Amino acid sequence: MNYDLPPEYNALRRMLREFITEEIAPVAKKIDEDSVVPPELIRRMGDVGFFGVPFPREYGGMGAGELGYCIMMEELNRVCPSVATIIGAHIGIGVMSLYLDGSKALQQKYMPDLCSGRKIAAFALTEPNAGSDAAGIQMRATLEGDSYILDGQKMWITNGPIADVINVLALTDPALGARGGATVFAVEREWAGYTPGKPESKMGLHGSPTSLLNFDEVRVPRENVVGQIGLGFVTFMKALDIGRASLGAATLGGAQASLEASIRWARTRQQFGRPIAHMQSIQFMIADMAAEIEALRALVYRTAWLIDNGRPFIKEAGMCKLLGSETASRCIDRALQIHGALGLSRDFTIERGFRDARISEIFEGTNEIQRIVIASELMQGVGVRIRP
Amino acid sequence: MNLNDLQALMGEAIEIDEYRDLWVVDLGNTARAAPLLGEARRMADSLGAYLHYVGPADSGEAIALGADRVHPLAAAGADAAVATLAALFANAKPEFVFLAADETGNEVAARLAGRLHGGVVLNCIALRLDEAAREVVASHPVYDGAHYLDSAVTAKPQIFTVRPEIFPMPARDSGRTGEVEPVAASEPEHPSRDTGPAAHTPPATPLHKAARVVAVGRGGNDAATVEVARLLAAKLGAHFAGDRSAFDSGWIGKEDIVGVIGTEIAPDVYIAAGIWGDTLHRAGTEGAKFVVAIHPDASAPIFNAADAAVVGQPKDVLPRLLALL
Amino acid sequence: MRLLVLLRQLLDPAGMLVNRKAGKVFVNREEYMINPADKRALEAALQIKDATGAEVVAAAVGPARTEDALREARALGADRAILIKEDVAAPAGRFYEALCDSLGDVDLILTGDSALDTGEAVGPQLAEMVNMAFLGNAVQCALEGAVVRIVRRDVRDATQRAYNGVEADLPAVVTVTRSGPTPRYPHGGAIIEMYRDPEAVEIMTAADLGLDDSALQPAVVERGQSFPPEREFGKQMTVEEIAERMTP
Repeated sequence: MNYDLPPEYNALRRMLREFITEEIAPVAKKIDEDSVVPPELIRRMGDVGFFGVPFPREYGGMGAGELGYCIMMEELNRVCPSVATIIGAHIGIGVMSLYLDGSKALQQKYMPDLCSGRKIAAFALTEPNAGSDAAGIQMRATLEGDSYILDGQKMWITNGPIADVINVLALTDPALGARGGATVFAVEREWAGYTPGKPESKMGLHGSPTSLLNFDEVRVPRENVVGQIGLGFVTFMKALDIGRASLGAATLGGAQASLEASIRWARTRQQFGRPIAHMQSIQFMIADMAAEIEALRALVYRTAWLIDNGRPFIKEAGMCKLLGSETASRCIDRALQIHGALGLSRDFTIERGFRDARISEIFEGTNEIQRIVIASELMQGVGVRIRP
Repeated sequence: MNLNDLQALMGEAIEIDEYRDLWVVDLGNTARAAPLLGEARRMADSLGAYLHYVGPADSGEAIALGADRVHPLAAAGADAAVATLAALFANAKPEFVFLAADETGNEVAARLAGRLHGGVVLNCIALRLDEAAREVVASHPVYDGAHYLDSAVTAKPQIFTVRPEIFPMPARDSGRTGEVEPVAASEPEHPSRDTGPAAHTPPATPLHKAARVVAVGRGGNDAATVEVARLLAAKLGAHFAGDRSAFDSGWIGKEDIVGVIGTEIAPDVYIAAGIWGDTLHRAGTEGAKFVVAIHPDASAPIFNAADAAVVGQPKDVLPRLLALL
Repeated sequence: MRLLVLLRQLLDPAGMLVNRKAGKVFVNREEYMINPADKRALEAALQIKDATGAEVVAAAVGPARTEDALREARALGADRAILIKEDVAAPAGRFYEALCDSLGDVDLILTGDSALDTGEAVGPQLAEMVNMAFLGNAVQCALEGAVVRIVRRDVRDATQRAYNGVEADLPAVVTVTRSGPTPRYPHGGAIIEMYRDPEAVEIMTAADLGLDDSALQPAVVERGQSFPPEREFGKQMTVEEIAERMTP
C-alpha cells in the first residue's frame, strides 16, 4: 500500500495551489460581493487547464484523471467555492455526461472548447416539480423530421446564466417515463427558443450563477443526442455518481480551510491573558475537525483511486458527498464559534465560508438521497432492491 | 618586500604560485570602499601581509587609511574593471580581495572569480579571519535575510563583497607611508554598450504584496497629518493604507484597510502612524519584517510589535521624518 | 539560435521556520522550488522563443530531486532539459562550462542574478569561464538579430527608480532579477505529460562531461549558519535613526 501521490500529482497540486493563491485568493471576496467571476480569470484558468482536468489531452484536457480532478477541486474549494462550483458543474456533470456517452463526433465538436474553458457546460436535470425525485421530470422532446423539439423548464441549474452548451434531459417517450423514456440532448446557448433565466439570489456561492432554463420549442438536431435514445437517465445518473467523489474533494478543501483558519486564530486571539489555543474547549474543537478531515481525505482519495482503476465506486462516491458535506458544515460551524464575532463579519472569510458550505448537503443529490444510494448498494448484496 | 620586488631585484622570474596579500578594490564609490580598508588593514597586520588599494582615490588618502600599495585606477564600467583587474590579479595573485557589495561590486567580484578560478562570497555582513587556516569565514544573508550562511572560500583568490556599513570609517593616519604602482588598463574583449535611459514600468504591487506600507490610524492624526503620511508613502515608494479607524474617518478606502478584517500584509517595512494596534490589526501585520510605530500613547499595543517605537504625535514626527528622507 | 537557461532548485522557504533564539532553521515541509530569479530568467527565454522560435535548453546541477525543476521547465515550454546529476556543493560554473562545450553553439545563457538559498551568482562567473559578454540584473531581455538587449535598474541613479538599456553582441550571458518578467503557469496537462515521459529530462554526470575530481572540488564551503539578532520590540528610536534605516 502506498499513500504517496505519484510525483506528477504533487507537481500538479503545487502549480494549482500557486495559481489559486496568486490569482484567485486576492479576488475571492470580490467575486462573492459582485456575484460574478471576472471573465478574464475564467480565460486564464482555462489556459492552465482547470476546465478539463480529467479529460484526455487530445480534447485539450489535462489527462489527469479523477485523482487530478479531486486535487484541483480540493485546492479550489479551499479558497473560492464559487469558482469551484462553476468548474464542478462544468466538468463533473456537464462535460462528463458528454464524455461518458456522447458520440465521437459530438465530443470532437464540443470538448476542445469545453476543456479549454472557452465554453462553459451545464447539466440540466432538476425541474420545478422534479428535485430529489429526478425521475419525475416532465420536459418533453418530440421527434419532428431530423430534429427533436424540446419544450419545458429546468430549475436551479448551476452555470445556467453563463453556459454555452447545456446537456439537458427530456422525455422522448413519456409513456416509459424517465427510466427508459428519457434522452440527453446537447443544446447550444444561441439556439432559438432557449432562454436562461436571471441568476437566482442565493445564500451562498454568489459567484456561481444559478438559474431557470426555459426551452420553448427548441429545435435540436438528431446528432446532438448524447448517448442512446431512451437511456438518458442512465447517462445522467452515471455522471452524478462520478461527480459525487469530486464534490467530496471540494468539501475536503472547505473543511481544511476552516481548520487552518481556526488554528491560526486560536494562536492569535488572546483572552484571559493567553492565546485561546490554550483552552481545552478550543483544542477539542480543533482536534475533532482535524480527525474528521483526515478520515474524509482518506475516503476521497481512495474513491478517486477506485474510479481511475475501474473499480466499483458508487457507494464510496455517495459516502464522499455525504460525509464530506456534513464534515465541511460541522467544521465551518466550529470555525465560526472559535472566531466569535469576527466569524460573523462580512469582511472576514469565515462568514462567506459558512454561507458557501451549506449547499453541499443539498445539491447534486441531497444527503438524504445519498443515504438511499449507499443503503441500496448495501442492500443489493442481500437481494433487496431499493428504489427511491 | 613582495614577490614582484624580489623578482625585479634578482632579474629573473621566480616560480612560486603562492597567493599573497590583501586587496581592496574600489570601483568608484570611495565612501563605500574606504571602510573596507580599515578592516583589511587589521587582517593584513595579523597575517603579516601587504594591503593593496586599487581605485580612483587619492593615493595619499588611501595610504593614510591603511593601504601599503596604491594602484590608481580611474572609475569605469564593470567590463573595463574586470578586464584590467583580471590582468592585474593574474600576475599579482592576491590571497584576499574585498569589494563593496553593490550591483557593480558583486558583478565584478563574481566575474573575477570566474576568470581567475577563485571563489567568491557576495554581500557579506561579517568577516572572521582564521589566521591559522588563512581563510576568511564570511556571514552573508540568505532567504532574504531570514538567516545567514557562514561561508569560506577554498579556491584562490578568496574574493568577498562586503556591506560597507558594517565597518566604521578607519581613522586617518597621515604619517603612514606606502608606494604607488601604475596599473596597465586592459580593454574588455566583449564589451557591453549602454543604450541610455529605458522605460520600464514594474507591475503594480497590490497591498498584500507591498514591500513597504505606510498606514495611518486615528491616534493623534488629523486630515492634514494624513496628507503628510501620504507624501511620506510616495517618497518611500510605499503603499498608503490605514487601520479600521482611518477608514471610519474617511481617510482611506475600504480596500486599503490593513488587518485581519481588511488586507493582511507582510512588507519589509511597515510604518504605523497613529495606529493603536489591537489584535485584529496586529494579526494582520505580523509578517512585517520591520515595524515603525508612532503613537502619542506609550501604552498603545502597537508598540509590542514595533522594532522602532516613537512615542509622539504623528503631526510632529511625520514631517520630521519626511524632511530627513 | 540556442538559449541555455540555468536553474537552481532550492528549499521552498514557505515550509521553513527560522528560530533566531534557538539558532536553528526548522524544515516543516520539505518542498523544493526553482530559484525565483531563475524562473524569471526562464520566462525571459521563453518569451524570446515565442518571438523568434529559438530553442530553449534548461539545465540544472543537483541530486535526483532536481528533476522536478527540469520537468517543470519542460512543462513551461523548454525544448530540452538536462540534469547534471551531481552534488550541489561542487561549483556549478564548472559543470555549465563543460556543458556549453558539450552542447556547442550556445548563443545566449540566461539565469537568475543570485540564488536565494546561498547568495551564489553563477551567471557572471560563467560568463568569464566561457568567455562571453555579460549583462547583469535584467528586468527585461530581448534579442535583435545577434544582439541581446536588456533593461536594468540604472546603478548610477540614487532614487533607484530609473532604468537604462544595455546591449551586447552574442554570445552572451544575461542574469535576470526577481523583478524580471512574470513567469507564466504551465498547463496542468503538460506537467502530467512531462512526468510520464521518461525522456523528458536528459541525465548527465561529471564523467559524461569529461570532468575529473579536481573539477568537483568546491570553491566555497559552508562552515555554519548564523542568525540575525532576535527582534526586540518596543525599542525607542529617534526619527533620525529611523530615517537612516529607510534610505537604501
